[in-house]
Amino acid sequence: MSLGTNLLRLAVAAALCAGSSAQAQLFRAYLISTGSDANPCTLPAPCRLLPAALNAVASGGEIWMLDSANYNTGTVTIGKSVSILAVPGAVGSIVALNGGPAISITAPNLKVALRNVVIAPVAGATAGTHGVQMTGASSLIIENSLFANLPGRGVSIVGNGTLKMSDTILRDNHGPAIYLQNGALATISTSQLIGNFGGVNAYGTTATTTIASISDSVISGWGEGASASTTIAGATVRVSVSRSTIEHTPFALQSTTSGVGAAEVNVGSSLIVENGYAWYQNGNGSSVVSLGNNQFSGNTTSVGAKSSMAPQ
Amino acid sequence: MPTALNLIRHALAASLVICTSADAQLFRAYLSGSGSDASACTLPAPCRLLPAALNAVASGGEIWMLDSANYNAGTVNIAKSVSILAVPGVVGSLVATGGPAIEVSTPGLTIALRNLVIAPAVTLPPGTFGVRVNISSGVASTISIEDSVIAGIPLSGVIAAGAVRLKVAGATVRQAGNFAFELLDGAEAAISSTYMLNNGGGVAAGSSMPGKTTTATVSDSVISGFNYGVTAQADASGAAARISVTRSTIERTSRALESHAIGGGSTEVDVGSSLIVDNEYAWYQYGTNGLILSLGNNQLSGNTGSFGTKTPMPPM
Repeated sequence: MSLGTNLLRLAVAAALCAGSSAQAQLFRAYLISTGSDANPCTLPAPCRLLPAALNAVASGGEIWMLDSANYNTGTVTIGKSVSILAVPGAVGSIVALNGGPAISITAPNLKVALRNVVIAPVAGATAGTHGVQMTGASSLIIENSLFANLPGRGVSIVGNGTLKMSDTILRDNHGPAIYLQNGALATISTSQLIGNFGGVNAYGTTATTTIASISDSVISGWGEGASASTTIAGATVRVSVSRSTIEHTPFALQSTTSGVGAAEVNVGSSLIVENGYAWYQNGNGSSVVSLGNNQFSGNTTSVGAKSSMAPQ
Repeated sequence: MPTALNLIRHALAASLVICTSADAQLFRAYLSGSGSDASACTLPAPCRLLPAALNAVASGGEIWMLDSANYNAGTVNIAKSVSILAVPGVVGSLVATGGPAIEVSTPGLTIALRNLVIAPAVTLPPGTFGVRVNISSGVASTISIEDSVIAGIPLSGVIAAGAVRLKVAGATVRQAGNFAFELLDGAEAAISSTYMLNNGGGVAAGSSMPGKTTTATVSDSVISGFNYGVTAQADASGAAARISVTRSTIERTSRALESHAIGGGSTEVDVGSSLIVDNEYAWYQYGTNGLILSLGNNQLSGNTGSFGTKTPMPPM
């Protein structure tokens, strides 16, 4: 154990005396690569893996990963409101393996934040699926994080959950970087979605409203860059793109319906270049709407109509 | 012990000899999780909590948090000009318990907060605000907040009233019960590259005092949820509030842009080059002297409705 680690432990231990007791759940629970899940997850005695810290932390509390390590051995199910972060300068790794996502949130009404974490598949083990999968109607915040090389989706939100993502890289995932379906609400800002099979892809297959906004971000890769799709009456899906770049995708802006529902992709102040289809609009009730101030170049073709929205 | 930390300590200690003496206040005061408030707050002998460092530091000096820890046990009153920062790579935590985490009520100060994390301690009595600045008279104090996170505060993340100049860059304020930034009675704020997520509201500028104009600019920022995006409110004769929004996103609020003037007050919200989507009211203009001004190049979609008048503002 390094001296730095010991100093760090001592440092934070003093701070915690005020906020913890032997019985109470912790405001802050701590993980470290040399920890043990038999410990109480305090700073003097940190735990090793996320499930132990999740048991120890109070609802609304925080889990700090104190050094660079991997902190799970299978899908981590988050069942309470919590912020999970690696201290700056450390890599807080959570792997997707054993056929499931790295993190699963199925409970409703939680407030979960992930900050400075890295989510990737583990080589040599049974492949995982998605990075984070949320099916509960909870609030998820992801900041300063990396999702890379996952077999499935980077972040998958199905149902009435909300996602706020900022300053995050989603790279070379084999599914969409962000997958939204049936009531999901997503806010993507200042993030790079590079080399995934799909950028932000939103689907309505029930009579729900699914919404995404993308600001100050870059989408480059396979599949659809920004897409809205409905297959049932009563479904509404809308994706708004502003101050962003979508490039080198087969389908930059795609809005499709099966003839029912309402799908819209609107775009303004953005760079749309080097794509196969600059826009792909198909089906009654679908629209691709432009603010008229976008920069299009080097796109091969387009399908359907691009309508205009009046700037206001 | 040839560790990196010791090397850093020695290096910094050497550089400090020129500017410290046994009696003088310190240009730089140091905090560490392993420190003691009985120490001198020097690099070889750092203190533990922020109030001790504030006592030790000279006006206009700096306080460095050297490792990841929490550095307060209650509201910290800042009464001198100072820069407080956590060194890069560590979490410099301050908790709000029983009151604001940081309180400033002295005029004429220049204060910077950099790379800090402010949150309520859920296992302690709840706090109120993250940062509260109230300068009722005298010369304005300037507060800069950079690269910091303010999360889960029961009331507003930052509240500034009176003679205050607030400068915010690269902050994240989320899950506050009231506003991310609440500005009152003459406060001036410049907010840029900041995320305001899942708060009761984004930016509020209000004035109830005749002759006091409260202003805010919001640039390159994102406001998402819940009740207000930005709201300018004035309710007394001669009181004014103005908010300018550019290159920003306001979404999924009840009222994205609100300008609300009553009782002889006047308000303005002006907006350009921005994305205003999926709100209940895209704009909410109330009162003869309440103006919503648009540069005419904003992207509006998916808003349920609007209230009152949105007035064009010609680009110049």
